[in-house]
Amino acid sequence: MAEIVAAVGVPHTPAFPGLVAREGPGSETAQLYGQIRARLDAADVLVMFDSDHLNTFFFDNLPALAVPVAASATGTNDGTPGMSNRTVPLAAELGGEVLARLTAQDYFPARTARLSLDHSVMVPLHFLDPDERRTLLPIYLNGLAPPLPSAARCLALGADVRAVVEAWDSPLRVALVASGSFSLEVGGPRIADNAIAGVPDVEWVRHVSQRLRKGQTEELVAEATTDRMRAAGNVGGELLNWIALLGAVGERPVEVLEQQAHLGHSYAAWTWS
Amino acid sequence: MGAYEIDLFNHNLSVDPEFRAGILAGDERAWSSIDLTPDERAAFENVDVAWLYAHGANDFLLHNLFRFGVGGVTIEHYVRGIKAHLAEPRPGHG
Repeated sequence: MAEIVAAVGVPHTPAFPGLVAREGPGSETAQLYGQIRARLDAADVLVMFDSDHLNTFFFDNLPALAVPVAASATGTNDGTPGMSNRTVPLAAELGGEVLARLTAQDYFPARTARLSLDHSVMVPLHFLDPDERRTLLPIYLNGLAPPLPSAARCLALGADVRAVVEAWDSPLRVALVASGSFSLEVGGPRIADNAIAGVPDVEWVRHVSQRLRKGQTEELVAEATTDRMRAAGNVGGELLNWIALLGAVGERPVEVLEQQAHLGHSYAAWTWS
Repeated sequence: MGAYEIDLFNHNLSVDPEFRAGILAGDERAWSSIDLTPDERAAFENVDVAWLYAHGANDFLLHNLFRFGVGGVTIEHYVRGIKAHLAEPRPGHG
């Protein structure tokens, strides 16, 4: 059976690849991603809870939950600066298992047989898989366009995805990844006065991080209503990806937890042995 | 024709390099590929962020106008437009 070897969470700011290219490996952002990347050495497959930014999907057909079954996908599809396009191998067999078993458990996942990948997937890959040796399974949760799925349902989803992975008849080792920020407004009225993005609620970032540190998942799920997450920014629903990860993590303690609160971000890794 | 077409314009800027290049070059084929009303087209041509937002544009998608430099829009222009609504939320959007 497949083995889960790590669980981590990171942001996906599209400017970060260019920033790190300019500032070098000693920069704060490079160091933070490096801390997380070090936890993934044993992983063959990354299962990533992610919220597409209306690039892979659009309002003509916008799933609350989508599972790819394609063999590969190309990214970035959204003109992310500082990144060259590449084709990423996807874990299609695992995608099929997740799709089938979640559907059997009364979820309603969309089947995605053809897709491209935006920065919300490719930026974490850029930093966490620089050798491009891993396969990927993104699991898409709508975190950007209300109505959003509930935090409680995302928590349950994470636990159920973990069970599917652990039941997967494969010798591969799997790491679970959450992609996203806790407070961030991009392009909306609460951006900074001199930038295209802003962090409307730095205190929420610190508060969520404290919940993670203390293992207070139930409290976080109760607090993470759509209104509360959206109050933290128009992409504040990306917290749902972290909550799904927490569902998979269960009672394990967080081992690494670093903040860039002024940017709306945290970086985390959970003990998994 | 409405918020869907406004959002489609901004979505295509992000994911369709040919559309993006056509819009930036003023190519009529690109401009007419989406069924915009005259008011909507004028708002895009003038990068009237406040008007587009008031008429239902998704704010995340709207930032693609700045990201790709449609109409040479500056950050000051974009911020002024999007923050025009801070005092009065747009109808129907809370």
